[in-house]
Amino acid sequence: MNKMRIILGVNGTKRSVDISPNETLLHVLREKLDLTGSKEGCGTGDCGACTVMVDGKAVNSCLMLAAEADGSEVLTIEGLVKEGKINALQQAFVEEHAVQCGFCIPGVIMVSSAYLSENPAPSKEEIKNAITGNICRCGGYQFMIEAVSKAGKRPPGH
Amino acid sequence: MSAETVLLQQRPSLEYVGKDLLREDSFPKVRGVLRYVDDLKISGMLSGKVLRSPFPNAKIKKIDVSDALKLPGVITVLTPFNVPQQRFTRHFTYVPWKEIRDRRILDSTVRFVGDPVAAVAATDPHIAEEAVEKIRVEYEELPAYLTAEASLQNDAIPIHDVIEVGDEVRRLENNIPYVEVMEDGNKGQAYLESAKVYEQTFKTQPLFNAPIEKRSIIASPTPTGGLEIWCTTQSIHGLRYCLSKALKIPLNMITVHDNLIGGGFGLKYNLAMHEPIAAYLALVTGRPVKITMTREEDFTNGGRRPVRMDVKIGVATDGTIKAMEMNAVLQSGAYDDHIVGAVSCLGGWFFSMYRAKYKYYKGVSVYTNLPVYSAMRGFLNPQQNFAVESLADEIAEDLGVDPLEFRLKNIPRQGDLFYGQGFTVVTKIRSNGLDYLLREGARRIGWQSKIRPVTDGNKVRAIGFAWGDHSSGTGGEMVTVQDRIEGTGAIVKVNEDGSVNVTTGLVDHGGGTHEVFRKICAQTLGVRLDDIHITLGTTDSVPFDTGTHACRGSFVGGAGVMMAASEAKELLLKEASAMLEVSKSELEIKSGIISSRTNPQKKVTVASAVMHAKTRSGGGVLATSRVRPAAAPPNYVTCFVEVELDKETGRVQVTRAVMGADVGTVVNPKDCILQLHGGLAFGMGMALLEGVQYDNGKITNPNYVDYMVARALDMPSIESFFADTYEPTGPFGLKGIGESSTNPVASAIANAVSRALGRRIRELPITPERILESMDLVLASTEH
Repeated sequence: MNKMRIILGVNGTKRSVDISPNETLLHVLREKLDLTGSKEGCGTGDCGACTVMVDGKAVNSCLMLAAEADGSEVLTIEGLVKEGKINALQQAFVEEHAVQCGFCIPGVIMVSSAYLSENPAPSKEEIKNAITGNICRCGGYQFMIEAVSKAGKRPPGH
Repeated sequence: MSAETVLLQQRPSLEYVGKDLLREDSFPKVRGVLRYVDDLKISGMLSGKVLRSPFPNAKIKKIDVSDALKLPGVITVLTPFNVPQQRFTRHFTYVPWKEIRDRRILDSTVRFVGDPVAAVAATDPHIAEEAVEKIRVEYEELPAYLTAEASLQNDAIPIHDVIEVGDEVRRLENNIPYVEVMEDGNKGQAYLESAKVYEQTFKTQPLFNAPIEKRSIIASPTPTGGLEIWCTTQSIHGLRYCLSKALKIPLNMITVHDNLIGGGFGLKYNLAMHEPIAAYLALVTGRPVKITMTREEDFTNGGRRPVRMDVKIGVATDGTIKAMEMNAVLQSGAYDDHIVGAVSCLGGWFFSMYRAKYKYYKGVSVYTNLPVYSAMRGFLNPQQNFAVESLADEIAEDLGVDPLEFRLKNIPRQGDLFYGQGFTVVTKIRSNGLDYLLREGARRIGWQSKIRPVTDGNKVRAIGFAWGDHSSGTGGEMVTVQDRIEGTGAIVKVNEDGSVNVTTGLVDHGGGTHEVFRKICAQTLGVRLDDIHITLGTTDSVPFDTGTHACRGSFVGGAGVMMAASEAKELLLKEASAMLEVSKSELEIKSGIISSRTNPQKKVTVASAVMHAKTRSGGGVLATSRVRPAAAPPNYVTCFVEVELDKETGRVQVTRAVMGADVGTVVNPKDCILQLHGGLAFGMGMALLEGVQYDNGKITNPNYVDYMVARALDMPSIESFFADTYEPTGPFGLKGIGESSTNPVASAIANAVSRALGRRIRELPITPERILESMDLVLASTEH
């Protein structure tokens, strides 16, 4: 099969990767760059576990071809940690007990992170809408919504 | 509050037990650095891929693998004609004399669409996939039986002509591998005292556990002819046992690692069919082999079995239940998967629902040419709960009694017997907050005895409720042959810096069981929670543990940790006593300091006591436990819901839920609440959304679009509360919660919908089509 080389910004570092044209971004992240934080729950864009940000937008990396991401900035769950410290959203997920088995969590955090950058002070109903593409089979949606709400800039009580 | 609820106002406030503290495993999970099985890579690892049957029942006449083998990168291809042909069990809570052995690594007869036919190991997953497509198979199709009813027809040919059970090779004349009858009490007297007898049939649908993490296994050969295994399993010892039997390798040559998993809900509590295939590929190639399911493949690994239940309840004029009978047909898939346990437990749950003078149960399990049904959260309890709690509402309505009062009159009380895990696993009920949960749930949601649905345009709102239970583990009073494997243990190692490792082989599939272990250990030892680290062991290094099922993690596993921690504490006190020249009984340990109760100035740190042990008494401080609880006490959950039914579309939305739980001592409050949220989501799926569909035996909805699980927008506002009870047989008084949390949910929703509709729904799921069909019937009956 034809190989091609792409250049990706991954969590702030330029990476050059040899790929096949039919390879997904998720496959490249997990198998070639050893960034296994992004998960494959379905492979068909239905569960949200593979969500990463490409140029600031949340995408299902299992549906995006790696070739399409050529030249883009990709941010994965691993990239949220700065100088060894988790960010406010990650901290809120821990504090609000929004994490159970944890398999959906990277995707939910990436979706919420992208959403908070568009809407920094969302209502709980808005958050519910924002994360409804992400399946949590443990069923812990309510505490996730609390966590995103806490991380948002909305003052408490609103 | 009822006098029966054990009130514990004097319960001492504990430093860690009962407090919401940050979970140790949450940090790697939010960072995305926790390695689940499919995230692991081993040098030289091959990818395995399974070729699956397109037919529900067929004989493999010929397989041509020559083209597949020619592909560069293909290392080997397994077929039924080049693998050993012994039969083995895939069941983890095995009792050797009851275990059904009907599975081979690869079999020359395939019995469901998706049954493994052949398997490839290749250097790359894409090559393995391509190779599988190049295998040519000649099949001879056989008649297929795609429902329990079809399999039970007199002229049906047995799907398995031979199975092995215990030491016996059994020839089957029909498709019934297991039947169990339970009977208790005086039938004649019970019906004599029954003023009215109610009989109804209830049916539940096939469901899929659908954890977001698909199953994955890495099998790596060891230099001595054994295997090292990383697997998405709920039981490392169960997996080891089944692999040992499947491959004829001694248990001590197989090492299975405890690995955190991305949800299980019972699906990962069996030997999946690709797992012995991966292990055999590793043995044949001499290289590590990984097989990870696609989402579609994962749907064939298990699920909740559909059950048809004919229920009969006799009631006296005052509303006292006198007789309870159930005849159940449990639809199994093409191979044994918890068949014996499913039949036994269904009866046990049914027997435990209400007090009655006479109880009878007959459960018949039936092979079909469908993918297997495994364990699934609640394990047959949600099915019988739907039947019994629906009929309880019907009876109350017919008698003109408040359904709440009807429950309160007939529920099990303290001192009654609980048969959760079947007729042979008996536990005396010592803690029971059910009366309180029912009354408090009713109060919180605003239940009224003469409830009328509220109509608003096309929308009708109504409230419904149900209660459920589950066993905490599978132990029981040691007076009978229980036929249940149950046991656990832990290693508590206190280090010379005062830190502690709790090494466990019990898998935490996400509920926070390991956090319970940390708290129990900290609380028992008297060290700081932050000093406790959970170490995931292997089958070589930890005491036996049955696995994560039956609400047993905290109740049974916690008992193991508590026992080891108590022994480690004794060792610490012994050292400190020698160091301080104070008798052991006078010493206490708090926050890592061992001091005299009478003279607090006399103190040493835990760290220095460990160092003392290392330098003086010739060893460190380490304790290992092994325990089998002599009880499997029931934990209780009540679910009250308000639903909104759209008469135009037939759609039902759950708009409010009040979940109450009696789990004994609440160790991790927020994790317990999460279990209630998750149980609600699962039960909503069962009631309204989920159902595996087949077309000629092939699953037609093996994805998250067509198989709908509850999403954020489906969830109502949820209120949770707990009964203040203490279970004397549980560590720190705790009981389980993971399964009871879902057991009454579908029933509560069905009861609410039936009330909104004015017509009883006796088959799940309650789809808009069923609602609309039912409304036509209501209209038709009112027109007459």
